[in-house]
Amino acid sequence: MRLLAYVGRRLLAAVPVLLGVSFVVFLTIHLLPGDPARAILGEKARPENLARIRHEQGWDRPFLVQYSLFLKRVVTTGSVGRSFRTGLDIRDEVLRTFPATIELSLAAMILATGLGILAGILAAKWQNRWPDIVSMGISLLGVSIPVFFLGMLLLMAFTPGLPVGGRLPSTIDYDESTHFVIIDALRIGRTDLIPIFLRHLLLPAIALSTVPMAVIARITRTSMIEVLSSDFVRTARAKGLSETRVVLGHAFRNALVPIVTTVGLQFGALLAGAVLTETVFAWPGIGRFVVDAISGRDYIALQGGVLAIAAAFVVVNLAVDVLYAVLDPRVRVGGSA
Amino acid sequence: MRRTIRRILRNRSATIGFAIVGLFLATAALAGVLGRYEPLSQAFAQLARPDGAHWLGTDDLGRDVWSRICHGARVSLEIGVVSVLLSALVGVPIGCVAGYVGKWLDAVLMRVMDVLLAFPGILLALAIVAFLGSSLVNLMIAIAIVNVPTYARQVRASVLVQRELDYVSASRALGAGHARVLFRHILPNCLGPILVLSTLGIGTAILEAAGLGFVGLGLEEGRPEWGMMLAESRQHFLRAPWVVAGPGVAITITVLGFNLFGDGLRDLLDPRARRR
Repeated sequence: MRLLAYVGRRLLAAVPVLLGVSFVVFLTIHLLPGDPARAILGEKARPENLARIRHEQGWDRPFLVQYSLFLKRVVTTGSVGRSFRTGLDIRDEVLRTFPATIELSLAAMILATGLGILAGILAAKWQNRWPDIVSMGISLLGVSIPVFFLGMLLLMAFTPGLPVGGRLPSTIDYDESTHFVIIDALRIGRTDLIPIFLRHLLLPAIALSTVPMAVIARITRTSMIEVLSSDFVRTARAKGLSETRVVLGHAFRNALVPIVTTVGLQFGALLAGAVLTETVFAWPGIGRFVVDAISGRDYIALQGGVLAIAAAFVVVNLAVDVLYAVLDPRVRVGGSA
Repeated sequence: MRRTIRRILRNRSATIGFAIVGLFLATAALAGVLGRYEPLSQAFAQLARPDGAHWLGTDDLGRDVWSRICHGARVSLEIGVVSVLLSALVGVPIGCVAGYVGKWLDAVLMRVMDVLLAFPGILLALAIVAFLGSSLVNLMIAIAIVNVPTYARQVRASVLVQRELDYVSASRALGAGHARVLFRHILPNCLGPILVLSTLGIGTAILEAAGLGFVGLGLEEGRPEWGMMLAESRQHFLRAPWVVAGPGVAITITVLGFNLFGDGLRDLLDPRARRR
């Protein structure tokens, strides 16, 4: 029951944060120097067009009325409006592009978690020896290198070996109703698309995985070093268990809580990194949608994209908090763990 | 003082970081001398390979890449230092007051910080610059806003610990006012973590600025900023790798330097966090 109460409390706490996020996103259009209508239509816009767009967007109403209208539109229709450039509903655009980002983020997260935990365990096991120095050196480099520079280096190294740009060659035409390539491929029985897709996915996923991988490796190392020096590990060794059993079976399981939390929190870094990675690799996700909106001065699309990413981030963090409480009962009581 | 220096020198990562940061500062200070040509001059052959005259080659507009990197160090330094100062100037007082006063004020301030933290990484900065328009000042303001919660939270946590210590009750008993207790007694005891955060923050700010530059939200066109240099030469990087290698390596090494230095500082200032 305590767990349920905790989940309820966290859900309630997320509401003001989401409201705040929507307010900040709403506020951005008021940050525009001068008149947003003019910023959108350009300097030579006719007065009647300016008036029309101001009225359509409700920019001629009082500030708080505008915000409540904005909030009402987002909550009831799930959309911030229509794109100025394409006329398409932003909600549909977000639903079309977000799956590509989820695919990329999941792939990057799998890579980052697997390799990061491995590097962290090796570093802790051979502390201050070369496996430690090498893996910590790489992870330091991983947090220092700009993701877009790494992306270009990968492209240099692997073209023309691996395909670049997009999720699938543009010549392939298929029914993409869920916008998740693997799900769509399985649904329509085109399993031949999956290996092609995975080859497209590899380089962007590697580029995007570096920052979370580095952070996960460092946390795993710290957590493992602490656990490896505890009494029960000594007991396990004294019982004559093999070193692999001691490290993986006993120590690692007890080092897991901070690692799981870190993995969850790194999703935020992924979503931010996706903006840059998707630009380098022409990956048709929400990050590139945002960048395109910026270069096209499509402010409504930009609002929609930013709002969608931030909302996803809040939801993921909420899920991590709940998972944390499931793993570590001390959290639920409300004490500091 | 000498003992402090000796301690820094004994910490390997701090020493390497310190050396890299020093090199970066020197490059920024001496950009006019080290960079052998005008960073905006387009007088040379386009996309020329690195040679004796152009150490890192030239870009697609015939500008000397090495000179642009030297002058870019100035821009990055300015962005890093100013945005960190701005974040700290706003974030530290917020954290102090929230931690010291507590109650509803703490709750309100921290919820506002939560909202800012709900935007992953540079996304908020991206939105702010996109709406405010690209300029050096807007870039620094955007990066500063994004990082305010980091300082506020860290300082709040430190203040919460310090507040309960005996020296605080002692100075209250001696008649010191709340402002004096908070800013003269508690704050100086929280400086260590702020220093570490600021050092790491300069690296982060440089990385964030480069990211914004890369998506076309950097500075005015032509200004030698490392992220924008990478973005501008994107189409040519397979043919002329030197145009991206220069600025890419410059960003990586500089950020690495600040990360190493910040980690080293943390180890020095907080013996508990010292690597075992």
